[in-house]
Amino acid sequence: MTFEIAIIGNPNVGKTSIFNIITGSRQYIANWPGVTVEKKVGSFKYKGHHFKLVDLPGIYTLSAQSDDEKVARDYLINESPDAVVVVADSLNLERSMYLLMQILEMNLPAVLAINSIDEAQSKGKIINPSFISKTLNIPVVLTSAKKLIGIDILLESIHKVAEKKSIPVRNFIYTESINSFIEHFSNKLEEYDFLKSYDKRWLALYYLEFGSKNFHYPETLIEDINSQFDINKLKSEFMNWKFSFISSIIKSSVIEKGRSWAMRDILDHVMTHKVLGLLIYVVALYFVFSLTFNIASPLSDLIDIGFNYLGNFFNGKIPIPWLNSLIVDGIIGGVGGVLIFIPQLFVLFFFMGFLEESGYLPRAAFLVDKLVRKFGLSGRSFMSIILGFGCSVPAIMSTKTIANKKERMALILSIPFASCSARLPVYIILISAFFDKNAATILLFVYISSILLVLLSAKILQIFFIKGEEVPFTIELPRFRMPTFRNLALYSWNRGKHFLEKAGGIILIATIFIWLLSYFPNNNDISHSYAAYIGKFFEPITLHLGWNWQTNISLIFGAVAKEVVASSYMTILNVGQEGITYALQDILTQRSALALIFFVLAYIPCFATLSVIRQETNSWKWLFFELFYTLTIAYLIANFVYLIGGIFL
Amino acid sequence: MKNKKIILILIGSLSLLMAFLNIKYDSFIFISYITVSLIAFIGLWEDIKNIWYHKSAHIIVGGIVSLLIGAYELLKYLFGWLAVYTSEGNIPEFKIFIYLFSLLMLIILIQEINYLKKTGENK
Repeated sequence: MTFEIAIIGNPNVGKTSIFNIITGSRQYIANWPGVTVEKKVGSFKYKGHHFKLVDLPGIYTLSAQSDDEKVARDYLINESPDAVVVVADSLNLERSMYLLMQILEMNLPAVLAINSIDEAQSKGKIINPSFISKTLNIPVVLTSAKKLIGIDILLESIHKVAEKKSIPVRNFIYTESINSFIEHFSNKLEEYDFLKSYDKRWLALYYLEFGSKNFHYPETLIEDINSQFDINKLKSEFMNWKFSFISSIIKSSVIEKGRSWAMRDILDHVMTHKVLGLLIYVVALYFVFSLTFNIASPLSDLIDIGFNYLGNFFNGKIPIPWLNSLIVDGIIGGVGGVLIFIPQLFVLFFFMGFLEESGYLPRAAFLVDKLVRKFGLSGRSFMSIILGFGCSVPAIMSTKTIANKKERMALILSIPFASCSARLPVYIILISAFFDKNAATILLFVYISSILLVLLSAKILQIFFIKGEEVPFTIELPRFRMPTFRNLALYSWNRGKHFLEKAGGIILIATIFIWLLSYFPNNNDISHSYAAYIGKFFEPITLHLGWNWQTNISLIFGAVAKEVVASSYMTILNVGQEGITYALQDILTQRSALALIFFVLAYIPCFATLSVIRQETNSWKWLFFELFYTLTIAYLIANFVYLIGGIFL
Repeated sequence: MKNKKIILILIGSLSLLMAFLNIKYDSFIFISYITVSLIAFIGLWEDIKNIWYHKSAHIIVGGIVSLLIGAYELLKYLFGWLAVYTSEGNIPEFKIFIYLFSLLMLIILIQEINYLKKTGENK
């Protein structure tokens, strides 16, 4: 028999850490809210039983206002798991108890895991689990996912709860008026067959707390209830009762002693300062980009030496000329030309991971909240934008936590302007060739421009295309943490792996295709190849920007995956990493290279991003709109940059 | 540390000096030193909310950013040597004053944290 267990809790309390420990998975964990936006499933065995473990998105309530809350609530309603593990933060237990109460109101078999107990103890906080356990009639376990404390006891508690068929009776003593409301509401529900499968008390309390907006209550029922009761007064009474009840539990079960300050407060005092905070954020980004060039370049050179050796080794050994050219110029030259950027990507991922893991990212979101509100977004959106620096796909998925539909839609369509890591190889070859002395500064400028572009795009889309209502933004600042090397390595590997898979898949195919187009029909003269014909077809609209057919064909294939722009250059120009600098200087000028960087920043998202846009907007219309929109914006920006570049360069 | 004002003035002035000494060397280092300097000088003003650890916070964050500069310079130096062998790059410069400044800030940082640990309990 298989038991189904759900893990739920507030964002960033360590649900995924516990999920990974129990199931042996390697789901990525970050120190900011909203990492898990969809449920993830794993399995494990305990005492001869099979368990299916479902990691639900981190949420504060079951109100179902945002998509992640809806995913969690609907799962709990429809799947009725055998046990629900509510993971709470030991340093912020009161807030987690609010969600726990909602789970108990649903009459689900629950286990409370109070996590990060090691951190609480180090700060002089003592928690008495037995008091909470006796009051709520549920097992309560003190855990630390970081130090593997309490995991065995947690497994045993899950096992016991899942094996028990009956749910323990919980008699919360509400006020008389709330009790009479629940009784009346429950009696009325008997008249509606389709609601009979739901827990009646829960439906009554859910209506009292969240109203009818996110649950389909029959209109006749609502009319009757509203005519019988003063709902606003009752709601306020119910919420007061709930918070007093939670406070009384916390007061009786938590003892705090020790010092009156924490390093978090000290750091936050300066890092959330309106001027210094932003300046430190720019310095942090600058630090990452500078290291991307300084550390990774020599490593990149080493890989290039390896590929050159490989190319020389094969060159001339294959008797068939076209096959020799395919392997040496096409595959080794093209794919190798992308793989040499692995160090840059891993360095970028590693340090970006550090910013996320340490808890710095939500602070940046908090800092810019006021600024991004002017663009119709919230600080929460800013976190998705930063996530887009890695890859647009998870960034778009992370917008599920945004309750405001208008904001979410604008962000989905604008996130492709956030400069994803696939574009990095293109930036590096162009920046190294034309702006070597100020490489990190130019890269920082490109990334800051990409943030501004997302913001402007979101504003334009909200003014002209997307309508909706405003929802206030709240963000919780997580604790500062020293990231573990394991988690940073996992973070870098998860993202880097994707790049390696692409190199062996779509980039390889595109590279072979480009080689075919550049080799045939005349292998002696590339300027009369199919690639040249296609590239030249677009020259009337690109020559004024200084882009000839080589650039055009690279950009066309770059629509599949941005790295292909770099590999196409390597194949078409038939040079290695060192030679590419001079070859590019022959076909581009400084200002046309800068215009090209900005075009690559903004033009057509890759296939994977388009696919996720189609999925999240549930519309082909928006997908085609995105294609046209990004291409138009990119072309306009390229012209603008070329024009401005003419003044300064 | 007791004389926080003097420490903040020292950090602010030294980092400003370091910024201008390295203006042509590396723009990241220049901007980072300017940031440290601003962190220190803004720390001299009293906080609107009268937070008792206001000056300490500015000393500590200034120290952390300075350590970041030191770490960056060290990595740049080490990988610069690697570049000498891989792509015949120039021999990297050893900027002794950047390391010394980071070391000084590390000492100040540790002193300040220890001071907070001793006095913070009674606040």
